[in-house]
Amino acid sequence: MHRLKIISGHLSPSGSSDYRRDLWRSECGSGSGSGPAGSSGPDDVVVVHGRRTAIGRAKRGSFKDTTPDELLSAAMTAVLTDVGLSPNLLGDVCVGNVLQPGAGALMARVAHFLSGFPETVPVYTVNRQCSSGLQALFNIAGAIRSKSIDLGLACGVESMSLRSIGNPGDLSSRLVDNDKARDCIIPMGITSESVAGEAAGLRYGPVRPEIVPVTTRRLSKLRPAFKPDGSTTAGNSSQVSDRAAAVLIGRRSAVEAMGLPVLGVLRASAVVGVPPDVMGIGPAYAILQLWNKRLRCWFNYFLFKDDSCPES
Amino acid sequence: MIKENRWNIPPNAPACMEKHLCSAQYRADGTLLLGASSLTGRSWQGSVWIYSDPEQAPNEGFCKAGVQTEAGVTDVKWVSEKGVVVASDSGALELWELAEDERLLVNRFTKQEHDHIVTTVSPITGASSAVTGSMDCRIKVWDLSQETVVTTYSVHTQPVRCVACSPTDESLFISCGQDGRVLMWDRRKPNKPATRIDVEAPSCSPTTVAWHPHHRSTIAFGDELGRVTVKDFLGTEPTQVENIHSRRVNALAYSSHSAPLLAAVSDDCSLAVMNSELREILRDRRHQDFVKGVSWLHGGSNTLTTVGWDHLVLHHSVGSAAGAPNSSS
Repeated sequence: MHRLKIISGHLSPSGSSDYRRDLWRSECGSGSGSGPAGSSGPDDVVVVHGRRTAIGRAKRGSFKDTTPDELLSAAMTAVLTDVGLSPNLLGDVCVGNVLQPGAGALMARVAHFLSGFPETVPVYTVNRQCSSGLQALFNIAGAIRSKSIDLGLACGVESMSLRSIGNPGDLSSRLVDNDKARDCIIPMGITSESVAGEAAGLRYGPVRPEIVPVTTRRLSKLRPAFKPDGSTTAGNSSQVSDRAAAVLIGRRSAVEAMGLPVLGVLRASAVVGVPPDVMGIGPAYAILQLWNKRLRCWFNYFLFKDDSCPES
Repeated sequence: MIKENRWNIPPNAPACMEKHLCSAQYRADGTLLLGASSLTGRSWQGSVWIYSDPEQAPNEGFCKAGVQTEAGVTDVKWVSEKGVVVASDSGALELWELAEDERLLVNRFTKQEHDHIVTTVSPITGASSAVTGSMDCRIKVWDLSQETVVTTYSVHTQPVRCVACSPTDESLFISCGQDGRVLMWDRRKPNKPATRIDVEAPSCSPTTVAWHPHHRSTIAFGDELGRVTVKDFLGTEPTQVENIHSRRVNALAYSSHSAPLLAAVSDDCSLAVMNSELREILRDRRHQDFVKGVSWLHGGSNTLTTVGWDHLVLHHSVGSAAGAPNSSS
């Protein structure tokens, strides 16, 4: 509750004379029973399980020589092994990635096979820059909601040791004449300084996910699960890192039929565009949009990252 | 003034040492200097530790002194009896000094002059200067008493992996970088200070370099493939090359014997000690992860210490220099 008060305080203009934040608790309906924010039903999109690798420091850390397909394979295998699910039951796999060519389309398929997934399970990749991993989650959720699939794996991976933000691609020479277009190629460090100048003052608490150890030889003992409680908005300062994560989500009816646990429910998502020169403030506006969707119940936000950026 | 504490724990030593040990060096009196970093996890920090009894390392409770640094540590070196230079992930060179009966490490300066991780630091004999190399491809020569950079050399085209100052001549140092070049630098030459030292084919990027303690023109360097090359750059002796390791050589160290032995540690998790013909006289595979640092005890000792990412500090003993391999326990 205290955290909610702080977050909601950030979203209202400071110093407003009328400032009185009444927070009330209402049933979100992620358990049984109905409440104003929605009831639980068999078509809910639920999170089953999630695992991630440790976060290695780019160029110096434990994963500096590890290719991203190995990192991704470790995370994917861990998730399925933990719940005892056979990979052929996955309807789709979506991987968020930024730096690999084609957002890692080939790399993801290789990781797929390294994990022993059958060729009948499809995979695709998505790139929404820092929120690629989160976008993968909502892509799979969308496919579940539209009944294309029952169960899917959403992943994210990045190796900033092996690839850097280098070639921006083939861009028109008209880019320099267009202010907003030109702002798009501002390096992240500079945009973050612009963000620091913003009045936002959002503070982020730590995520407490659990770690998959990745060894160069063989993936061995796997640690316990991803916890739904205690999550919050983004992470700490932007670091250059190598890591991977995978989350298994599905339709509640299918998940329960397979006897899999339900960790949490996806209630809503929001995505916004913001000025490119302060792109780091994205989460602030996206959260505001969610808030305005009247999702002011006792909820947990899940945000996970597949690469260096802590933003959603 | 340090308050006496019952357990004799240094006052500002961190409670816990980071896992990845990156660097180790003995002082002449046998005091061991360690550098540690955390390279996985949510925050990446480093720490510097001093052990008067190296057998106690890496036990935090038994250190002589210890301090948390603001970022990961790549390399630590003694610069005088009481000074320690630290190459930092933040791009800084830090100078720390032992105070209060050597139980406290005090920061003299932290200067962020490099634009990327500082990978290596080497003090110049004479103790008032040091040379650093960085992933920003530059080499900087520092005046430690003035706390400034004296010269910056931008010759390497890729990250500098190692710099080593000559133990005998204070104007000379060697650098090696990912661009495959091993360069011999002479600071007295303002126009063309660097001379290229040829590397035997197949050329692959050199990772570490060490000066022979007695022969002024002999150096040893290791590379990405695990080879160790001993070369006399004045050309009188033939070059010796051996495939010592199966992965990158991380560090080389000559012993203090009159006919020095050469120790090489590698990402293949092993230590190899070779004699002057580059024949292996000791191989130790107890490390469970990359071995990153090696240092011999001074005074002609047969003891050397290796440190690695497995957080182990292992002490090894070689038999007589020309003798058969002695498996250390």
